[in-house]
Amino acid sequence: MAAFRPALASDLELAAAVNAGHPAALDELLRRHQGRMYTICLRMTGNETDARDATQEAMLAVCRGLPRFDQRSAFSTWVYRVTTNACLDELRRRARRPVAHGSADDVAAAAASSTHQRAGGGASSSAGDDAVVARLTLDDALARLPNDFRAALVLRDLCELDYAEISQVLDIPPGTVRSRIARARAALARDLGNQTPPGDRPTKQP
Amino acid sequence: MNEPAALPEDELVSAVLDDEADDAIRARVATEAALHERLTTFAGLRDDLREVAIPTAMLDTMRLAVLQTTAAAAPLPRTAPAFDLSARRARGTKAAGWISAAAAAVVLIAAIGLAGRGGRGDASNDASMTAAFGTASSGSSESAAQAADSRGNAVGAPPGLATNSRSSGGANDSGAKTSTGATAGPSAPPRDLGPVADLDALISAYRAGTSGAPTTTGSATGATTGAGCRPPIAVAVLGGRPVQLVADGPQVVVSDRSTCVVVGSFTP
Repeated sequence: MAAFRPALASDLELAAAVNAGHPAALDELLRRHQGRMYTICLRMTGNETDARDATQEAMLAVCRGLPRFDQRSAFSTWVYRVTTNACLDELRRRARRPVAHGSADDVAAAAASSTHQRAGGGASSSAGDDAVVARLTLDDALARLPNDFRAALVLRDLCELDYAEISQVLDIPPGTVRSRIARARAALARDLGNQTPPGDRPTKQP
Repeated sequence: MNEPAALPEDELVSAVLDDEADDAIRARVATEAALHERLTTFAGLRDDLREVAIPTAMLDTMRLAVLQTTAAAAPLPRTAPAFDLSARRARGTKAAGWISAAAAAVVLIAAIGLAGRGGRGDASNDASMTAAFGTASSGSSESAAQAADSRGNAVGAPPGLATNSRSSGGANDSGAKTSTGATAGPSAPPRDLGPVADLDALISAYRAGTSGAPTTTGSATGATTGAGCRPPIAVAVLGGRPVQLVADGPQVVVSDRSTCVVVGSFTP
C-alpha cells in the first residue's frame, strides 16, 4: 500500500482518508480551509472575538460532520455551508446578549488592533490611518446589513461561490440570491458614500 | 429601500460582476455610463471586502486544539473480531422481528378477550377467553360463537343466538356476547319442554318436576332484553313458535329463540 501524503491529496481524497482513520488528513483539511473559514466568520460577525468563536465552532462542526459528508457538492462548498451556519448561530447568540453595537470603545479597540497589525508593514502613518478608517467604515456598513444579505454577499465575494452554490448553501432560490447580493452591494455603496439615512436599510425578502 | 426602480439595475450590475449575466446584459452595462460606474463601485467594494488579515498562528493553535478535542471525544478504534457474527446477528434480528410480531398479536388478542369479559365476574370467564382465542385462531366470528356455544352451555341453544342480536358485531364482540350465557349454568343442558299451546301450559310444563306457582305472566312486549338473549335453561315450542326459557335472577324469562323478543316471565 502506497504511503498516504495529505499534502498531495485532493479535498475529497482527504475526506475519505479521514473517514478511513487518518488523523493527518483531517489536520490537512482544516489547515487548507481555516483561513477562508476565519474570513467568512470575520465578515459575518463583524468582530474578531466572535469570529474566533465562530471559527472554532465551525472547525468542530466540520470534524463531527465529516462522516456525513456525502460528496454531492464540492468539499469547500460544504465547509462554507458549515461555517456560515456556525456564524449565523453565533449571531443568534450575540443577539441574545445585551451588547451595544458600534460603541466608541469597540471602534477604538478595532482601530488600535488594525493599526497594530498594519504598522508592521512599514506603511506611512497617514496611509495606515486611511486604511483603518476605510475598514472600519466597511465593517460598520457590513454589520448594518441583515444577516441573510451579508451571508449571500460573503459567500459570493469571499468564497467565490456562484449563485447556484449559494442557493444550496443558504437554501434559497437563485433569484433570491441574485437579489440579496445586489441589494447588499447597493446598501454598502450608499452607506460608504453616506448617501442614505441610516434607517433606510434593505429588509428581508419573503 | 429607497429608489426601488434602481434595484433591477443593481441586480444587472451584480450579475455582470459575478459573471452570471448574459451577453445582452453585459452589453447594456458596458454601454450605459451609469451602470458602468456602478459596476466599478461594486468591484471596489468586493476588493475591499476581500482584504482580511488572517491570523495564521492563532488559527494553527485553534486547529490543533480542535483536533485534540475531536480525538479525545472519538470512540476507541475497533478491534478485529475473532469470529464473524454478522450472519448470526442477522438471523437473530429476523427471529426477533417474528417474535415481536407474535407477541404483539398475542397481546392484541388478550386485550380483545379482556374487553369481552369486562363486567362479568362469574364462571363464564373461561368460556369468554376460550371464545376469544378461538376466534383469533380460526379467523371467523361465526366459529367463535360456535365455540362458545359448544363449550359454555348451549347444547340445544339456537345456533343464531350469538349473532342475531348483533348483525355487525366483530369477532371479539361475538365471542364476548356468547360467553354471557354461561351464567345460566354451563354444565346444564336446557330441558326440552316440547310443544305447548300457550304460556300457562308452558309454565305448567316447566313446573313439572319442580315446585312453585307462576306469580307473573307477561305478554309479548316487542322489546329485546339482555335476559332474553342469554342461553336458555329450557326450550319449547309455544304455539308453533320456538321459545326459550332463561333464568333472570328469581324469574324465568320466556323469549323467542330467534329474535330474543320477550314473551313473558314467571317465578318458578
